Amino acid sequence: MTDLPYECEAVLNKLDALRRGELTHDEISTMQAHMEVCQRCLSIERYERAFLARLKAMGSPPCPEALRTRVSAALARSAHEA
Amino acid sequence: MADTVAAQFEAEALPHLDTLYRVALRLTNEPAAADDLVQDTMLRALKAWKSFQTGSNARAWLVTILRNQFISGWRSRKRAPTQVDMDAIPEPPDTGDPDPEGRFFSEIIDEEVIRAINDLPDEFREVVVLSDLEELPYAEIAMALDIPVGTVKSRLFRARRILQGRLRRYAEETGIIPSTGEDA
Repeated sequence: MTDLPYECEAVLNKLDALRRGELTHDEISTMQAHMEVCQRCLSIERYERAFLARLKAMGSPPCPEALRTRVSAALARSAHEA
Repeated sequence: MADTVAAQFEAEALPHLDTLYRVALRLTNEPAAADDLVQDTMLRALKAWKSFQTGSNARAWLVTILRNQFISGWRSRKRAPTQVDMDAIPEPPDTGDPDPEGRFFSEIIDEEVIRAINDLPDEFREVVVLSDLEELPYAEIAMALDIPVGTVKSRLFRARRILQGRLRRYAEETGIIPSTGEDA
């Protein structure tokens, strides 16, 4: 990943799994114990959590209706030309 | 016959138009270009429909086509790739604030977040868009980009660190959080 200490790399590799609730109690405890003493990993974990929450809050624009209609018309033309 | 094929294609592909549109928007950063890219992708996909194996992942297949269309036809029109320090990992700020990121994300504007994502080099932007915006599973991203899952993870890690450094600098420059005096 980078030139991080092995312990940090192991923790950072599992941050997504931690957020998705995919880890065992033991794995969670190990990660928490590491982040209590590693300011860098704690900072990255907090940043990622805040970043992902922010992206979620921004919402997802749907495909505009005009584009949907345009694509359907283009597909119909193409299918009939084939 | 043509109608049956088109109907099958539309049943599989049209439900993914929202995803394709959002990915196209983030790859091109221009709504009009995104519209054209989505239409090109769908026409290309219809022509290639015979090669799609029923039961496999239609969304990943469509994203692959969209990305290939983008690379061959659209990327060349964009700016030169941004140079990034690949190993730059921001050091945590020592400001006494226990949660500076949580605080600056509540004040930073949407446009700056989008701008930071748009400025990422393509290989990093696409994993952030597919993972963090579209929330596709790693395996599906790996399939769409034709790279190993481990590469998806490592690119995502680096992309988030680049964004972290960029957004923190923005937050410092605008006074949202105190400056740490670091370049990271």
